[in-house]
Amino acid sequence: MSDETSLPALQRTLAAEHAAVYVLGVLGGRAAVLGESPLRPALATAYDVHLARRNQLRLMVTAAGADPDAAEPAYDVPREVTTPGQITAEALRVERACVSTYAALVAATTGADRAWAVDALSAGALAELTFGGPPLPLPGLPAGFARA
Amino acid sequence: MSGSPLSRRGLLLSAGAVAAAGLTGCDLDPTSSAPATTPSPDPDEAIVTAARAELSDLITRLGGGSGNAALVAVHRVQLAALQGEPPATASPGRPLSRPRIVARERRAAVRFGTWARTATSGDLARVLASIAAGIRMQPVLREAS
Repeated sequence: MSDETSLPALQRTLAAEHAAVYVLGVLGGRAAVLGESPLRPALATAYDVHLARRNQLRLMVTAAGADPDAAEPAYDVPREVTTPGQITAEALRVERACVSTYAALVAATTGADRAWAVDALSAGALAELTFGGPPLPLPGLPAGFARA
Repeated sequence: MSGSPLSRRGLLLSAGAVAAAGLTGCDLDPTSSAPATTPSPDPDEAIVTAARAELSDLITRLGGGSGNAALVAVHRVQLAALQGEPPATASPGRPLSRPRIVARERRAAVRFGTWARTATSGDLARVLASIAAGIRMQPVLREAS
């Protein structure tokens, strides 16, 4: 279902998921030393979801006839992000970034790839709630895109 | 990590193409020798019309119930994203019960997801998919799940 138009968007989404997997892994490690907390299973679940999406995106890029872009060696996770509140906020930032990327992927794809992106956008929006994000009317779109 | 900026103009061009191109000056000028141009039909016109109607209906039906103000505000923003005109009045009928509201919201989320999958315009699909996700985020559906 992929074509030349959708390939750049697929690679951008893959890059976002590479970063999400890395950052969520680091956050999970930092949360592990905080003791029992609902944050730990939430981060573990989010990590697994993003890992699965990253693997799926690799397949989609390959199916589009290209080599999937590799992850960067490392991504910036501020050292001061150590408290539950800071870790939660960073996880929310990751989810929001991915939701915006999936919205762009919806626009750039058709068929099965778009259907997958639509589902990922919805799932990502719900993941925002897990990390304290407020319910939004238009997740993934720029703030102020539409005002009633 | 964020996506490219959403083109609101692109959505307008898609959603309003038929309305904007309905009549040209030549159509009204009997002395014009230029052939009348036939606007190409917007393949997404039916989706846009149905999507606006869905949100307008939700706003109207929810508007009469107490405690629905936040949800109505959400749907008004979503309708504005589709360049739709908000309905003027709330429903004069009985307010929807909570289970009915949940059922209607779930149905709307499914419909917007379907429209997002099938829209020809990518920009329109992005807005429709965002609306579907936005409906699923609202407390009325989270509390019911």
